[in-house]
Amino acid sequence: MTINAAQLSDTRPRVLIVDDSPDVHRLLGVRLKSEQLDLEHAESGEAAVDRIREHAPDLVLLDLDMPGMDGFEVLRCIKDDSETVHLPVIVLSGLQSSQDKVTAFDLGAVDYITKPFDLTELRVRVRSALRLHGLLQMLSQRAQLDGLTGLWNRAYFDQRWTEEVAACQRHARPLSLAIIDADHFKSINDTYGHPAGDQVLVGIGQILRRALRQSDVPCRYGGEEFVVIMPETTPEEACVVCERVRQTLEDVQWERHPERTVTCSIGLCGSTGATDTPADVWLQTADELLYQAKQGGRNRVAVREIESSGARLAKAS
Amino acid sequence: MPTGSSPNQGPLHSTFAGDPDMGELIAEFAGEMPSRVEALESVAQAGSIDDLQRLAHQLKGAGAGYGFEPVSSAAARLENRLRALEGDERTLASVGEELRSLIETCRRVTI
Repeated sequence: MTINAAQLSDTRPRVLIVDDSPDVHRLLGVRLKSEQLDLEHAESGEAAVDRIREHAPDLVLLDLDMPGMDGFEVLRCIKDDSETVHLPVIVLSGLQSSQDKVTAFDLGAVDYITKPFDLTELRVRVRSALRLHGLLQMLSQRAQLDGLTGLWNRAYFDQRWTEEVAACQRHARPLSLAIIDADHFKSINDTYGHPAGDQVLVGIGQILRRALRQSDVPCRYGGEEFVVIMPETTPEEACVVCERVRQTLEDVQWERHPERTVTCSIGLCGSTGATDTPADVWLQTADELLYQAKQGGRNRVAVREIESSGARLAKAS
Repeated sequence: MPTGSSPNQGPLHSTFAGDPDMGELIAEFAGEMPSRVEALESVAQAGSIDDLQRLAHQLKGAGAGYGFEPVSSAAARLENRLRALEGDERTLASVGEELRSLIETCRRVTI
């Protein structure tokens, strides 16, 4: 599952309560008040499925015994959809049979509480499910990060870049892409050792994070190569940012080799509005520009604006 | 035994009565009780056994949640009895005792 920045922030978890009984909604509303949660309510299976599709919550408390679409069906819908398969569901039920519990767990529920609820138990089970889910999200996020620099990794970039290009085409918004490559990196490794080389990469990662805006997506693309997606950014604006990165890096005095500075070459390619250019061609163009920057003497930014689509598409103002 | 002092006859208070969070909800529930009793009586009169079962099910779920466990048990007895009956047996007469007991218990509910 992909993580967006909002999910990582300390926003209150959203819990959807699904039950046909208005009493349950009222009671849970009061009982979970102290838990720092945002509660939402659905009074039928159908309403729940719609709600979840629209904006998935962080946890679902689901009654099994509802008229129309019952809890089992809702559970199946949630788990059959790849967008929501990881959504934790605690099943609530007055039904006592062991078979129902087994079925609920089999269908993917994380927990089962019988009515009438023991209220302390309810609270701790809710907390536990949210905690587990938070850990899973963190784990999944780790899989999208580069271990050394903490920037996004290549797998994440590949996916995200495709999405951003599609969004750019759809909404005719500016978008820029920069490939940043440390100059003479092999020589740094050979002369000062790999730990020094790693430190340089970590340092570049830090410089990127500080120089970039919240909306930018810095990724480690390969050994000494980084790529930055800059949504809502024209090539001119992106150039300013890249220059800042380039200058900052050049100015760094490295602990292990104070006599040797590190520079980078940057290939920058952006669009002011919608463009027909496919994602891979765009990336390739940035790569060619990077090559130009290297050939031109390194420690510089080579930038080009990608052709926008014809007059029929609106240019971003 | 003097009337009113038997544990099964007197007013029924919520076990959450002292809980500050619950005060409003208990008052709401107790306030709604007369209309819920009325609903029980009218579906029973009309002979809508399925509706009676549904109302019993709802009361079973609600009662204990508000701290009125006896309401839940009485409702459960009625619901279970109805569940066990099939076809011709599903009549008001067959569950008269359970229904009466539930209504009596509901009437005892108070803040």
